Amino acid sequence: MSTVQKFVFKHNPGTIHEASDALETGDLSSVKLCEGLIDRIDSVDSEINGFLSVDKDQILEDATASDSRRKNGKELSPYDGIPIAIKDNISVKDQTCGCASKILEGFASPYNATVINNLRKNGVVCFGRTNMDEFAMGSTTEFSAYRKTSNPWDVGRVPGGSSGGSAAVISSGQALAALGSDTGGSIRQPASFCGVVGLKPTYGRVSRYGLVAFASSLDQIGPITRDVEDASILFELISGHDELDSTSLPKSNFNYADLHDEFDINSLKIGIPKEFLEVQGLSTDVKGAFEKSISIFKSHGCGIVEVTLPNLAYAVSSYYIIATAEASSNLSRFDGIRYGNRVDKSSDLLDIYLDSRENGFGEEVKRRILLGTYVLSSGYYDAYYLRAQKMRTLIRDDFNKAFSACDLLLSPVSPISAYPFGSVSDPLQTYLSDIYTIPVNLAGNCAISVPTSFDGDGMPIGTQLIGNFMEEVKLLQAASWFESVNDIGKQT
Amino acid sequence: MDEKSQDVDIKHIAGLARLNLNDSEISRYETDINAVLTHAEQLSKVDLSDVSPTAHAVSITNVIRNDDEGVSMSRSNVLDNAPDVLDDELIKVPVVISSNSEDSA
Repeated sequence: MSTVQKFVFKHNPGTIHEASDALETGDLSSVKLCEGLIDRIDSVDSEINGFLSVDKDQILEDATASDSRRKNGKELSPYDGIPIAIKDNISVKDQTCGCASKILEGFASPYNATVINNLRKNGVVCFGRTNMDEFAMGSTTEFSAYRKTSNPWDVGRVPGGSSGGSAAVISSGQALAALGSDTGGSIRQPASFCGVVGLKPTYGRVSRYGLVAFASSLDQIGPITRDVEDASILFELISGHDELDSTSLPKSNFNYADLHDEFDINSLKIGIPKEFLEVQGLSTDVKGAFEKSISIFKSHGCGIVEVTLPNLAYAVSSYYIIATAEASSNLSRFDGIRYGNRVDKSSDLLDIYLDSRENGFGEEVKRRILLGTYVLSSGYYDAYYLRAQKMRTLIRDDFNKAFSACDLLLSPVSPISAYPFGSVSDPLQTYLSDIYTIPVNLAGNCAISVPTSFDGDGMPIGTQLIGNFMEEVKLLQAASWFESVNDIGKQT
Repeated sequence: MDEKSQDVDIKHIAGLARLNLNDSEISRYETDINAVLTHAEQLSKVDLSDVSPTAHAVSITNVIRNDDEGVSMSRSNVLDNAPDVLDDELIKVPVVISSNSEDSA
């Protein structure tokens, strides 16, 4: 068992809101805050490997500029000078953006993602690039082309994925908060594995402009933080309509102040989809954590109703058809011609495509490109892709029916907690463990993972709350309430 | 669907996807992809004939902007990421149309 987790935040404020308060009173400067975190990186990241790169000079330059804004009373927001770590698939101008893939080695973004512009407008400092499964395809971060990130609670175990770097650097005190992306659970599952909070917003509330596309109809950027309050703050900063993303919703801006609206646990109704307890491979520890959360809501007077998601069993199949189909199309742009790595052993154009892609893509990315190409290929489109899209309609309808009987759904995040490296290697088995997170992406709803308890090996387990379309206020209020009444216990 | 998923021709699919694969990759991916497709056969057991497909979680209509001139990325900005550049103004690629075909043109 590693000791990395145990001495977190002796010197640094642990959250955005604590740091923001300390900056406001002058007890802390952005430079001091960033230096403290950089020291922490220097002492622990060789063990965790959560960051792919940290441009210390740039960070301290941005922090210095923030401090002088504050000194002159010209801070851009209460969060001016707050450092936020960024997943390696989100574009920050002039910084590398490699999606932890060799095919984008050395690529520097020529522009900022809209979420980055939104953060910068508020004075936020971009704080390093976090590791991930290559092109966000994976559930362990083992598919990064560069390094394996370790779970800070036990460095012999996976941090989850694909945003495993983001979750691990927060959990190990190397950053206050981070941005991740969630296509089928890539924010919520690593948050659960690392004992932090992860929010997947409603599809269309956060602009995807500047997020390297994996599966465009499912991808969504969201916060990974130490508590629900920070997730709410960061969500407010990054949400909002963007004309550069044609799938951006109008009036999608989230107001943090709305969380102060009245919230009464006694008038809340939580739905438990009965299929969730029958999932194959649900571990005893995770089941125990799930039952614990149900009883917490119940004992405080919250209404608990049984609901049904009758097509849950088909969610993984339809997801992996739809997501890989979209990925095979999105990743066709990486051909070694206009940007990225080119392998030109031969002077033939086709060979350049073949060699560059062979050399540039890793194992899982190739597997998904092949699967996606197959389901879209002539003769199979109707049998697979069209059927999966029709199933997506039924799954969305199931959620709509469930939400007519309750306000929020409660669920595990993953049927298992963080496991040792290399212990799950069968791709289908890994895909099946996305059963609780995938349906939310198919339906486009919002969901959050909140730390709940520990398993028998001392690894954290989260609980997922799922909200209806655009109902983040209710979702975050309930999550924050749960966080405040739940005793997560101690690592055994 | 049963028969179809058993005869995934990985070599052919890899060609469509512009991926070179070695023999061990071909056999591994054949196994993996067949397993996923066999699992996905469950979808054929559901009557979906009256269901319309969903392409997006949100029903979106096409967004059309005004046809106004905007600011584009500068050429040098684009070329900074190009693997091979000619005269600081073009992305260099191998000959696509050979000199023979030029002669006949």
